[in-house]
Amino acid sequence: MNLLDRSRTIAPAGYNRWLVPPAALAVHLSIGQVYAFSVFKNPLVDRFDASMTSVAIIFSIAIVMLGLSAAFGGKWMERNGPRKAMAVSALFWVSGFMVASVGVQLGQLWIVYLGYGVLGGIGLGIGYISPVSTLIKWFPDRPGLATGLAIMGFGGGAMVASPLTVRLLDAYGATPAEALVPTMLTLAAIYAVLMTAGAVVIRVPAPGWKPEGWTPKPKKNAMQTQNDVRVAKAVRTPQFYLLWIVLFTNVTAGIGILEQASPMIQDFFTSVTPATAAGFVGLLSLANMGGRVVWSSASDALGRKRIYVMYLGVGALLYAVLATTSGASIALFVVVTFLIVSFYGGGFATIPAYLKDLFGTLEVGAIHGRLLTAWSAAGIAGPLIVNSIADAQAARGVEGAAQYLPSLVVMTGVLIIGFIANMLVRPVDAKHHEPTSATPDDGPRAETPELAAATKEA
Amino acid sequence: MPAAENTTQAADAAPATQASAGAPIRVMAFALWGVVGTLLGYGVLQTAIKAAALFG
Repeated sequence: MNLLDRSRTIAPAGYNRWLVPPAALAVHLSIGQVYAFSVFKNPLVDRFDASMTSVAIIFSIAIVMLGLSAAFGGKWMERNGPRKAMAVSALFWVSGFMVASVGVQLGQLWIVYLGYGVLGGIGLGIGYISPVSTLIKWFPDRPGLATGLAIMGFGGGAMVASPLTVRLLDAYGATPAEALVPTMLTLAAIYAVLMTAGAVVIRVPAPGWKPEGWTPKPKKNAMQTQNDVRVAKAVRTPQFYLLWIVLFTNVTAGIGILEQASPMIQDFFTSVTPATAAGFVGLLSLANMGGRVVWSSASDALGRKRIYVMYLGVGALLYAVLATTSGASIALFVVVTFLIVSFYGGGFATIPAYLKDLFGTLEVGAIHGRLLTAWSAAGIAGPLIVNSIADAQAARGVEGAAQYLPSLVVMTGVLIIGFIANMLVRPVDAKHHEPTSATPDDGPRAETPELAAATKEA
Repeated sequence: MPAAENTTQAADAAPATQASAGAPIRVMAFALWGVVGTLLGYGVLQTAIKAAALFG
């Protein structure tokens, strides 16, 4: 296991930091497959002769396990380093596919729940947080760009997996249901290679490293701290819970569009066909991925708090525009929803950089892991709000664009709550900061994991 | 981007162990850029083709 230790991944002097992002992208592109799970839905329904709900539970278990494993595995990941975390993630993610394929072969749905849902979900959570803090440490001058690059991969993963899975299902059997097992095993093999390559390539910066020519400029009361807060203390600060609300509301609002994108555009505009609606869903996927890297990078210049003012404030206005001008113009509808979904992606990608600003880099991965429980909660609350409103409207006989009006109004309110929470965020009280060594040149901190590892080895 | 921005500088306190980051690892990292870039390009292209139906 020595090869996987954090100490074996410390980069030597002169290492090019731009060689690190592909390792992060390799992992996120692999686990991003989870958003293409819908491609498996119909073949699984056919194979098990089960209901859509029974099959949809597989995805729900995976997302809940993502939140739980990120929350509880974050501290372990910070202690053991990104390579071990990536290897563990690969092990769980790949074995999840393999166990699920056994379940499909035996006709046992519970084994698929265990495989893709539980094991795969653990791989998702550990994999999601594993490269983020490493990239933030490599790019302290542009943390938004760094986290945007990594988390863009998660959005892109579904774009790769979706057409690839369709091709594999077509190629391996007479029907997609018959082709499920070889398709899952092929994907497992691809992800095993890709994630292993990422784990091999990943490097952490040496303690005290900073980009040449870059010096942090501490400002009194600035949102960007030069101090560190440990996860145990971070979760006791109001800032953590305010950011939890910010992420929860941003994700819930994004789901409000994504959950019903295809039927929504067809109900708003009767001229839109199912094929055109599928194109609209594709466009939203591009908005989701593009927003992650574009808006997160922009946050380095604009500031994290300001960019969330845009995600949540402008987002609320855009939802209000949708509610008031619904059905006026397809172009307006597409532009507004494109922006809303790009803010959803941007919100995901910018949150680790926001955490870094407030809590420092020491345990930012672990704090990020805890915060991702907001994603799991929104993953349950978002569809619940949208679908229950849609069902209630349908029961009352409301049809067309009008049936979406209440959920658009609710989502506007949700975003306003997030907006207020973001406005309340202030720098973390100094009493929570870790003691730092008195090195005036921003030298190594007193107790970084790297130094701890080095000391242990010595 | 300037070369100085991309490279590490010697840390004040060198760690006890530093990972091998010789030519093979650097080549592998460059190759991985190619692989992930190609995969992302494939995904974006496929999605863009699908999205084109919206404007068809």
